[in-house]
Amino acid sequence: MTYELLQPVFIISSALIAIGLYGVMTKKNMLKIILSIGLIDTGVNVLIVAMGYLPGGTAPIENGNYAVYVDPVPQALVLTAIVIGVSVMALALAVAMGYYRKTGTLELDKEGVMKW
Amino acid sequence: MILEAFGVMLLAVIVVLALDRYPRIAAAVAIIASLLPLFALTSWAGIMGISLPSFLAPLEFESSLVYNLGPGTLNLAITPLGWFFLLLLATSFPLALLFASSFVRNRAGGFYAGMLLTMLGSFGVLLARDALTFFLFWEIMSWSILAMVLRGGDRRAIVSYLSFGSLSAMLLLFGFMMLYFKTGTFLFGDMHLDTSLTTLVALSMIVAGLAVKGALMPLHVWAPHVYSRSEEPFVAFLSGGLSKLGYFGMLLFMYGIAGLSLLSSWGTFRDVSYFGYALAVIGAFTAFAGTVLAVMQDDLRKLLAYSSVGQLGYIAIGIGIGTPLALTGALFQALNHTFFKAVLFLAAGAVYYRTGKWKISELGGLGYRMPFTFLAALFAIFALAAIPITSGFAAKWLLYEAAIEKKFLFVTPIMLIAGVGAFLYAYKILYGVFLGEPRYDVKEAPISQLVAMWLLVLPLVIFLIFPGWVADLAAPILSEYGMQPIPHTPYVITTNLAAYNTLAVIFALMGALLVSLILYKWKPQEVVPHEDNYLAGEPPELYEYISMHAASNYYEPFEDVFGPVFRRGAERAWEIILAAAEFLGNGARRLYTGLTQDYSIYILLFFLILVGWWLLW
Amino acid sequence: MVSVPPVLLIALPLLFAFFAPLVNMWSRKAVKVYTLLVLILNATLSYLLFANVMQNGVVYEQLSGFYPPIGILLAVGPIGAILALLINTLSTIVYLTYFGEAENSVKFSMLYMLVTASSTGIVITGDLFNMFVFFEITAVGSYGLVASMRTKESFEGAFKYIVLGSIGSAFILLGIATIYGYLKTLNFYDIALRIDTMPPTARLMSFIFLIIGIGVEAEIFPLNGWVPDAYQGASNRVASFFSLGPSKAGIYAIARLIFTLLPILSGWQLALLLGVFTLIIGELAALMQEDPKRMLAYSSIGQMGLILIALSLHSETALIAAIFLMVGHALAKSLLFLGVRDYARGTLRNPLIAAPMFIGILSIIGMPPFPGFWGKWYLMKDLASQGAWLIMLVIILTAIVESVYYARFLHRGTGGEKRKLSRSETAAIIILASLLILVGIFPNYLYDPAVRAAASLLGGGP
Repeated sequence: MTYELLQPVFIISSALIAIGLYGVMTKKNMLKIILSIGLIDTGVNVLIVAMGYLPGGTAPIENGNYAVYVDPVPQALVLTAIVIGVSVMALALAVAMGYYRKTGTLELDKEGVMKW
Repeated sequence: MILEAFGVMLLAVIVVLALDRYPRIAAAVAIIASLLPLFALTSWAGIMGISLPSFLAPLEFESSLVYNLGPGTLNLAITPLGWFFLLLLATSFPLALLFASSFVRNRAGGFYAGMLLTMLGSFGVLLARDALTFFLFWEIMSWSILAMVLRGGDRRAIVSYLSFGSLSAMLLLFGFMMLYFKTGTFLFGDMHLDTSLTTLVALSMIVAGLAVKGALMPLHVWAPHVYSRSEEPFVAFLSGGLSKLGYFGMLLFMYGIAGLSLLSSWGTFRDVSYFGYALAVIGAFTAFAGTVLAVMQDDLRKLLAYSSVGQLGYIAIGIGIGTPLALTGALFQALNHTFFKAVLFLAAGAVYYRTGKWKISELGGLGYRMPFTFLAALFAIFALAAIPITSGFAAKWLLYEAAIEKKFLFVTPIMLIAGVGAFLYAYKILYGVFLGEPRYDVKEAPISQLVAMWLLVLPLVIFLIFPGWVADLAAPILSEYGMQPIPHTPYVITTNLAAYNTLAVIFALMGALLVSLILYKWKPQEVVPHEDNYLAGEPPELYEYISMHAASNYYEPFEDVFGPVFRRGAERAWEIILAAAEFLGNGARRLYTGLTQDYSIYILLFFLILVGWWLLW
Repeated sequence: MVSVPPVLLIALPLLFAFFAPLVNMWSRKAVKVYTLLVLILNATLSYLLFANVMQNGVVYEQLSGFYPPIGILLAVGPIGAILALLINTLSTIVYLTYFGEAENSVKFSMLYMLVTASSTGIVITGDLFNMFVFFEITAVGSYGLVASMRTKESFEGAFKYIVLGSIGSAFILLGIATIYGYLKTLNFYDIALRIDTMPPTARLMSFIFLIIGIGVEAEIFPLNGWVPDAYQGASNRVASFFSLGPSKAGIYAIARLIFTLLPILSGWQLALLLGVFTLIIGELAALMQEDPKRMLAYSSIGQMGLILIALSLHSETALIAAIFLMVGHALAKSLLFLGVRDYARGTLRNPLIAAPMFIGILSIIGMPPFPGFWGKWYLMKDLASQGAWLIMLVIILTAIVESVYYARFLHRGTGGEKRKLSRSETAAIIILASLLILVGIFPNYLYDPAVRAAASLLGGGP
């Protein structure tokens, strides 16, 4: 029953991940790649939050009424994942900035990259 | 005392490395450390039935040792075969170091350290009684040779040595592991091999791996490069001593572990196993091709290198035929080759030390300037060319007889032709370097170099007079393999076809020599420059740029015939294999396009493949 | 013997790393000394932990007040103790080279401590999500370390690393979510107990997610696109540090995955296949490589393949081999990466550089008596006893390829004028080479722990 309820969420998160992967696989621009990574992260996070969901559950905060509450662990996971995602994003942007300063471009093209 | 010997030698390695700036002291330390294997040799003389006075054996070495390392156990024990080869190595090694004490000047610490490590490795190989120990010390020996080759800094030498050394290591490893799979043990004593195909493949792999070190064709590619681009004292020991370890291993694995009856179980040809016959044919081919290639060389070192390859081929013939006579001949040839090739490389080193030249066509007349070097080299050349008064002749005589006895119609003629070929290049060294009009006004080689060379000549003289002593040394080895030692006295080795009698040969030859000396002295000869000799006394002044030395293009017609066939045949094959690997390598490299897009596509593809695999499975 | 709470190994460097800026405000020069002291402290602690584990068996510690399986558990088994000791000791030695540098960046030191701590965390944790967090800290720190050179190459390498690392972490997260969704637990040993109750589909999917995610960090083909670029872009010190810390932690995580977490048959086969491919591709790609750092990076990939093969054979002998290979590779590669700074003609003229580098190369190509040899010998022994000739053949052929490119590499350093490294770098490579010799000549000091680690891993324990 739960899974039927969550079907749209799964679809949305899968779509987010797919869009993100598509971006990573096709875009050359560093900023676009970073955005795509952000999309993937978001998709995964949505998925995990949805997994812990119970219909009619409350937030897992102890307030005397905890007959039905959603699983707290996925939320903890997602919180951590979000924090990590943000820091990675910030670092990625900083690196992109550094790259731009050195080369004057944000494109990772076939020419001019380290390869082989 | 075995462990202590290893420890002291390792310590000596560190000490000589630290003494890099003081070459003389480093040499002294290295020579003192190099006496340890010699004392081990004398201490173990009992197992060959030799009793030595106690002052010759000051140190007591235990005859076997088991040492637990944790991941493996080292099993060391002295055997007659090991003793025989230790005799070759332990005696030539200190002399090579003695020669080096005046020859090697820069970065001497590294030189002596590498030399000591090669000896340390060889010492372990000769004592090894299980596959782990054998492989461990074999590879220590192998990479310390690499360290010495690195000092030369020649690209082809480094790359060919390391790739062939690695090939050899891997063949050995694979072979040992197959034997382990078959028998469940690494101990040589417990390996009871059966006649299965696995055993055959394993033995072939091991012998091929050993043949790399023994410079058998077509696995010899590294040898000319390494021999001609490293320091001479080292090369003398490498060609003289270390290359014998390959043949030591062949004897150990073919006759000590597998045994004659097992080899014969895979089919025989005139009572010689196919396995041995194949080795004999390869050996004969090596002897022939090595000799032909040696004749074509102008570089003295290259010439000696190919000559080594050729001479080592004879040992393989003897091991392949595998009769008591042939094995005795092979051991005799190994012994001779150790000493005469060491003398020749050292003499070449001494010549270089004084003149700075390697090319035969730039040398000449040194016999008048360096008479003692010349005499030592002359003796070695006689032994090399198997002139019928030297121990070299005795060894080859036994080998010829062994081949004739088995009616090897293919091997025997090739051996004989190669034997004649040896005259050609021996003459080239003799005449091109030492005879003719003196070209350089140089001094005799330093005393340490002379002493080293002459001490190496000594065994050649001893075994010239007492060829039977080699048969004495071979007897315990043969009886270990369940073979009858060949009958002999110190002067006479009795064989089925014709006995080799030193005294008869010596007297006959002395008579002939006397007659020829008288004839030679009848009319005094004039010493002429090499150029005159080449052009009938009329050198054209216009063509100065043509090298008119007698030794350049001396055997041109010969080279025209054989050159296209032999020159770099195996080397081509090696290059083609290398090129194929490089092609694959470039392909693999192209996968790393440097684009994150491609890398993430790989990840996704990988994911899809895994999911697809699971769906299908 | 003092019993050390394992958490100190992680907590102390993390804590001290955040104090580093304070030290920096006091004196810029003191930061290096401060960091070195922290690393030495950590190495000492890791040694005490190692001794403790060897004496008393597995050390458990639960954090955050809850009991397992809900609370976070640290479980230090023999393999974790070996790797923690390895990572902390070697990172201290490699850090020594920073003293030869005029540059004095507090950020570098902080990141260095951070990555050391989190790599250690990966090998001593007993909790899947905890491992993920440490993975991410390691990754973030590593990105920063790669970029710390501030050249075009280092930014580029860091960027590629970030992209692939992020995709990898998304996969790990998916794997964790799948497992949690079915078993409601994240404790390794709890998962291992109840893994059979998972439906096969979910089990396999989680395995696939996790192996892809971890494989990115463990440099497994085809997930290792970032490796050559990041190693080439990073400074030598950082490349050296990577080959001893994060990559070893990554391969440890793979071991944990295939031994404890998801011991299913196809997992072994898949890991074996991956190992073989990684080995072949890595060694072949290195063959024609001219840039020394990039060549060493490809060679690292090949070595990782070898270690993965050893891990996936599921036998005690092979696991011992894997541990010897890991230790040998960590020592030798970190040595070589340090030694190749300004590698050119004449580097090998200097015996103080030539001898250690030579020893490092010998260990990598599996020459006795160095750790790489023991690893290869044991691996071959295990393969031989199973009659796996094809894999043996692959290992042998790649070893020959390996020796060809190392021969060329050696040749490029001979001749010419004598070159020098800074004093601290020379000291570091000499220490690393002596460690290689010691482990090689006295292998029993590593062998006994390795036997325990193998037994413990095979038994499903930490």
